[in-house]
Amino acid sequence: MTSKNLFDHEDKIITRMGKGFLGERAVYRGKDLHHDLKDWSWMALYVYGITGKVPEEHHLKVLNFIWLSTSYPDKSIWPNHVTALAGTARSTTSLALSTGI
Amino acid sequence: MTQEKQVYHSKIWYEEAEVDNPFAAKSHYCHGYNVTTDILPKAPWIDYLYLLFTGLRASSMQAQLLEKIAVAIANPGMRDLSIRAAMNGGVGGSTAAASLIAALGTGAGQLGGAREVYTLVESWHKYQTNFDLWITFLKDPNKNRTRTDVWPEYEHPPGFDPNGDQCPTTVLDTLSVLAAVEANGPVVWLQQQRPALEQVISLPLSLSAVISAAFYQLGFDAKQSEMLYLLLRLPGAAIHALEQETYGWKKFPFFGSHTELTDDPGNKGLPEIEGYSQ
Repeated sequence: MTSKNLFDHEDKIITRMGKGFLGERAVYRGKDLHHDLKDWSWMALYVYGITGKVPEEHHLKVLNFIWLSTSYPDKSIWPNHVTALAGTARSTTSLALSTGI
Repeated sequence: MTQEKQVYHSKIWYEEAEVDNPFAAKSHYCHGYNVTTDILPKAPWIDYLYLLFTGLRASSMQAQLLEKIAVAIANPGMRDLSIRAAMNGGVGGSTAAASLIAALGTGAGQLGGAREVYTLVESWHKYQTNFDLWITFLKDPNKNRTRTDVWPEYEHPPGFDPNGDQCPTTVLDTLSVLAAVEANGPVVWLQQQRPALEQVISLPLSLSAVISAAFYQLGFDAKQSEMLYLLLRLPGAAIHALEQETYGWKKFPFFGSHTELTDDPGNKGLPEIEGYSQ
């Protein structure tokens, strides 16, 4: 039956990525967000979320520099220009940022 | 423990499943009409759009007005901020969806965008054709703002162009065509009151005011009108994004050398980076 895959996932979400046990705890890729990860930097959490691997300190330093050194606040660059257009149109900040992405 | 089955609720849409596959629909019903056997063979797009939003069959006059609105705003033109956002997406090689998202996010705004239409239609339901109430609102559009919101405060009277001197011909033409659909409707009132409103506000009427009056005339509420304004302006965004993609970036304006930086610390040369030497 070709729809077996759909039946296997009916009425439930199966994931390894994480889950919020609301009011109790949150699991982020197999680690407790508020215990195991509470002292991590935002960049470390971000990289771990994408890759599932615990990043090394020197990798984070390079990634942070790439992030910082390519943050050109120039309105003539297209994505920035689109975001600025949304600002001119008095859209919301979140919509403006999403248009630039 | 047995868990409660999760279900979606809708008064708009009903589907019957195929006998041999519960994940595929045998039939779709929109407000009771079979989509593929009743609506698809018989209904024009604009009638179906009205049915989707209201659950009702459009009268001839309603269908005519909604169609005129759809034509009027299908392409806001290259001066419009949402179209320019889509053009930037197209020329930059963005995905089709990204260009439309750029148009939606920009065209959502309070200056000529869908949120301005929301505010105006909401105001139409409150003030209707009471000139004095409209003037009180237009002179202080943030008066009833009760909390900090994702939307900024209005910096102009909604429905008027803060950067304009005269009402543009295209706005006047659109107002005339929409006003001709129904005698004595809200659009006719707007057409008659435009000179007096512009005199008191000291700004020209904008297209968002015309379209908002027409949405109100059709009985739409503020949220429905906001959605329709976003939706019906997308054709222009799509075609201009596609066109700029074919022309390429060499034919697209780039304002790099036209940018005047007013807070420049000066050139400090190459930075010193740990572990790197020239």
